[in-house]
Amino acid sequence: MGWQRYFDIIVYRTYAELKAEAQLSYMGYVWWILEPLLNTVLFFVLMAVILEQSTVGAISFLVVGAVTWQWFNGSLMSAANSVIDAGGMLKQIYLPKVILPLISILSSTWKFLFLFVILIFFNWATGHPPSLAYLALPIVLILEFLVIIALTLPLAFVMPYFPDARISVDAILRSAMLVSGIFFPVSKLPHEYQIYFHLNPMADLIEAYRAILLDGTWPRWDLMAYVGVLSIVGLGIAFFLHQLVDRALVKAIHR
Amino acid sequence: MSENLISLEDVGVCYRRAQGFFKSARSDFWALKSLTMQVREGETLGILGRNGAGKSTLLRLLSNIILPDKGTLTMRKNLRTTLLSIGVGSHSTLSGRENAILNGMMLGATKQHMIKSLDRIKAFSELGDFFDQPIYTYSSGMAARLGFATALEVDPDVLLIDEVLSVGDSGFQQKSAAALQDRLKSGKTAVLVSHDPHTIRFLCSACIWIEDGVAVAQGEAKVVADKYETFMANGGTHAKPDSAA
Repeated sequence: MGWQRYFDIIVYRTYAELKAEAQLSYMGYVWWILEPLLNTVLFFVLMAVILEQSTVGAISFLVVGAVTWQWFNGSLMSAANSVIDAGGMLKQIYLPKVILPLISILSSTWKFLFLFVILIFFNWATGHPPSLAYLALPIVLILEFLVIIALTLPLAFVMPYFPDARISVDAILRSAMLVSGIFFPVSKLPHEYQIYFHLNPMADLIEAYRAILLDGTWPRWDLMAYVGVLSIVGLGIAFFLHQLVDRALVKAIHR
Repeated sequence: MSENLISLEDVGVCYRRAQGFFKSARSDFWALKSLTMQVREGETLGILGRNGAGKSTLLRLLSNIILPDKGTLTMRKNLRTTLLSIGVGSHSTLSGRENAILNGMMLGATKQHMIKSLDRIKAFSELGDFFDQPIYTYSSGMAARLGFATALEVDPDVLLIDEVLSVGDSGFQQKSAAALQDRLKSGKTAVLVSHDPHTIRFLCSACIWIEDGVAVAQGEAKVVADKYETFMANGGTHAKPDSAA
């Protein structure tokens, strides 16, 4: 009974948030498409000028990275502050805190799926038609969804205790983008560093998306298994933290 | 003897205020120090006290938002307690109808229950055709009317009220106050927080007077309200209160 109500709340508020964004700010949706596009252009220029090796093929390479990164980036940016932003409401009613970041993640996910469909058609139009490897796509998508949840929930739960972290999230995400292989393939790195690169789950996922969407090959299953294990550990931590702060956190919100 | 729905035994709530990120010095503030009380089925319990006495903290405890830092709080299993609040979690782009469902769910009702209540909410809130308009088109009075009509339809086991709400124009104020009084007089279990002894005398059967996080007096509403009034008339100094009733 209780869970049914919480589920209804999540669905309703996600719908409300998407509707609000569509009605109140045209830029909300435009940005969602513009940001990966701008990143693509930026990296394309960087590649051309610094690495002196831009080809038209590089655009497909960059777009896949930028779009799938945007899902992660957008979810984290909005969900990290979801609990602290709902402070006033949480002082009046009890709501399991996990609901709030989930709403932000789901609304980001909805926008991402829209963008992802465009991406697939773009790839098709630029000479990368669907292949058998597409069968692995749902797995990689689910893995990224899990990574997003596993990383965002703990962040959203501790944010009320460290309001200063708000600023650092932005900065950390920007640096994380640079090491997630959006604008360079892992093979460009010296061999001894590649192992460290693969520790980053987002780098592994972006590589997997490219394997599937551009090369028509299967992703590296060992890395996918690693990402899966990592997100399950993260979900465990999130669950533990939730138990800890669910009925205490309101006391830390000072507004 | 009616059943205890909620009982608090020597309950305290502490707010920790860190002095800075790396400093270990902390100032602890006990908003509730030691409170022992019960909420019995069918009664309207008044909580009387000045600003900062710990009333809001008590309401947060009773609505399950926070847990006590000391003592024990026990509630009957699956007890639904809800703070009567207006427009919690409203979304300005949703229609009045959609917000009624959303607010109601936030306050603890199921979606089905709220859908069944929509006609009554529309009638009570007197919104007419505006009911299906987004609420950013509402005046603040209209939004408050919608919020009140919605909150009234949520039927928790224990209704928590932070000061008697009066919303809208004078006509609606009377109507909303009357509707709320009907609820309280009809045997709904409720906890009513107020700093006004008249309200408590009028609406409550029992009352607890809280001062500085402890219960100064508890017992029959009229008796406690009288004591509080005398105390306040004498300037509300911190003379040690006489034995609790």
